[in-house]
Amino acid sequence: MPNAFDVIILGGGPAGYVAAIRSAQLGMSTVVIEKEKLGGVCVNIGCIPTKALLHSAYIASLLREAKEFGVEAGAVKTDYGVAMQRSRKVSDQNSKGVEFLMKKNKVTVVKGVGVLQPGRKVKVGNDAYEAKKAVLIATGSRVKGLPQIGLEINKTTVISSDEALFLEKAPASMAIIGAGAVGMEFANIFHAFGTKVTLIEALPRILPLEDAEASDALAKSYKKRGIEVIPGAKVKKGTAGKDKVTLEVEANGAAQKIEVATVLMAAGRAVNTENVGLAECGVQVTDRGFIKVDQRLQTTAPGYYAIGDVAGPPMLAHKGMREGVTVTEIIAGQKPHAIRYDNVPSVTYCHPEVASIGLTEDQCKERKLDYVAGRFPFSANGRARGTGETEGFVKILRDKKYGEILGAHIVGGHASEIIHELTVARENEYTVEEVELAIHAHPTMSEAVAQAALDSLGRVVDM
Amino acid sequence: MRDAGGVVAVATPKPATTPVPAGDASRVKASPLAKRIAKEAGVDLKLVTGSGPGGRVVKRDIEGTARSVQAPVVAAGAPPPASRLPPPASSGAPYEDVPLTQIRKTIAKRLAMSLGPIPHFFLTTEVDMERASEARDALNKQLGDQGKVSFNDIIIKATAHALTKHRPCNAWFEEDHIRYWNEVHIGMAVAVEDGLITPVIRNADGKSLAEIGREAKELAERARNRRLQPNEYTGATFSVSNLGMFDIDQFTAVINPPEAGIIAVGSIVQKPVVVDGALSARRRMRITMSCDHRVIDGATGAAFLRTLKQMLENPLAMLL
Repeated sequence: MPNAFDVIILGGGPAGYVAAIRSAQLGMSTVVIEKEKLGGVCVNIGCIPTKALLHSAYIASLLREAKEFGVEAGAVKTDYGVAMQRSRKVSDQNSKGVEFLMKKNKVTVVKGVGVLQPGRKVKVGNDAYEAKKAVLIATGSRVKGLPQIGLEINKTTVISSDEALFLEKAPASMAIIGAGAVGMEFANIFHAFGTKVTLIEALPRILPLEDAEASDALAKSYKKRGIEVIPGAKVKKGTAGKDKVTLEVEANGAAQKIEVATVLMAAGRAVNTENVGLAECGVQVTDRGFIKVDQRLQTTAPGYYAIGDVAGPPMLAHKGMREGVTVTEIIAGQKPHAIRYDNVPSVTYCHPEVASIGLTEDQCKERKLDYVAGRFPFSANGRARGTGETEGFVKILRDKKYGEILGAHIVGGHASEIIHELTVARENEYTVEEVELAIHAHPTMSEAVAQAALDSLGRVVDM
Repeated sequence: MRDAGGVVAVATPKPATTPVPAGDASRVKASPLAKRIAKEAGVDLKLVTGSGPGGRVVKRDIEGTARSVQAPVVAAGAPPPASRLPPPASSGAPYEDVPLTQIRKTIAKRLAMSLGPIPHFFLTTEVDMERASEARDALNKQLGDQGKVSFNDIIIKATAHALTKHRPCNAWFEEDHIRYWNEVHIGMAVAVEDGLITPVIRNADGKSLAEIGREAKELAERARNRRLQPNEYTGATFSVSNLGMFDIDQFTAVINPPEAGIIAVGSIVQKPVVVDGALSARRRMRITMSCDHRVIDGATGAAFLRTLKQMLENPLAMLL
């Protein structure tokens, strides 16, 4: 049977391609079915190109302040189109990199739309593929608009990140609806490229899933640089014209009209569960629309597994990648370490960056945990002063009795990199004392982690 | 040696005198957090099966244990049969394999440790409980709705009181010494889901029957809910195990080391007994004492048991 493989993977995004590589490493014949480019949203229209654009934005803001550092850069001119082209190259390189990895690991890649069939089969056009061991559903998610209030994505004036990543120039003004990671990052990018940005969030604070202190720090930082931030706002209605959009927004009991050239919808994502053939195979979905999986990531249909965004929150590439590894090891008969869903780092790559792991302080309070908060501001950190990145802090929440790290929150330059010390600590159940005992190089931003750990123990040194 | 220029001779960390060889059984792989919780709760990490990477003991492995495993005694009192883990439903196979829970493993280890190296001997006596019954009825009438005194409370009180008069029985056998206690802390075996635990009534000799009754009830309840703090189930100097409520006439209990003795209490039953040459129906109860012969000799144990019998047969003697 030429089209029989041990493992068939539907979707070549982060969950799918990592699963494919691990599956091949474990000696299973593997095929990935992808309708677009390998790497999925993350590589092509998500994580990777936005990081490229954020770096362009960072350079722009750095050059604007360069004089203070003794460097004259003259009048700083920005061109979103050029930055966009560069970000495309970065994405293409990464997608090619995934293609190379598929070849290297002898994973078969089929271009096309796969539809599940009963009996562990997948149909792609007129071709049928059969899985000897398992079918992995890794179809991912997509952006969604809010058509019920007139904000259907029209790809011109009402856009999503899919379009924002291909704009030739930055619009004059933009309202971003949703101040989660995506909204925060685009607000940062477009503001740096000269767009007048209004950031609208329905919940009482921006970055609503992060610790309240992180939200406050970012709200302050954004307002200071001229980004309008409207939290607790309800968009009652949107009227999309030919070259402008009018939003009726209600916030703090007052109604206001906002007129912008472009609206960027950044309020949530929808999972790709339609037209996949789930029902026909007995694969059930949850009330929230995710595919129902058990602890082994198996769906309600034996032999069909789901990983990544379709398998449930958090909808993060690195969570999907881990599921890709774990599920293939399970299929190969191994007993992998159970995924700790409470230990998935969350990162927003705006400036300053926001990174966190574990519980927020509010969650500690809700759970009535006996905790102590330790804090250390980057304004007291030598390295941060040197680079002028004094915004932000490290905050560690520890269990009062045993010192368990319940949660950690970092706002500041390179927070996305620094958080992993605490991720490793939590994964291995190190307490604040083990973190503090490790000698931290001086001067580094990471010293703030050790100092926050010390602060939680009541013996901070550098403050 | 490093260049001495400006280098102060700081004490170099000494290598461990006996380096632990890799794979040494005494080494326990555990996370720092698990180690800390275990230390505080007095849990022996060697008894815990790790579920972390490479069999490492992690927090979740300790959590249940810290609350429920310690110093179990073989017999159970105050049973809640409904809360016991039922055996798995029969699958039709000749047998069902059920993995050992932490508490089962600990019980196995502790009890094997006990009957193995400890030279047990047993003394049995039958106690007339007529007067104790009368006293209990009178007390309960007086207490009204302010609580109830049970036979077990009376037995705990009498045991504690008798131990104050027989210190050789209120002792621990330790590696190279015997520790005779001046305080009397009675361990009270309580059946819990999938095992048993002995919460301790401290200084039981100095407590009133009503106090013991309240405390015993409260400890038993929290034991069943696995809410006991480690200090509430450790440190007993002598234990009482009661299976009377199961209609057990007589049994032997296994000593809970390092304690040197335990009494096993049977049910109270009406029996024909010859009193002053005449046959009469009396409420009788059998007590069997298990003694660690390394601490308690036959006559020592018998003397204690006689005092206990006297106190139960004449509760007023406790006032002496």
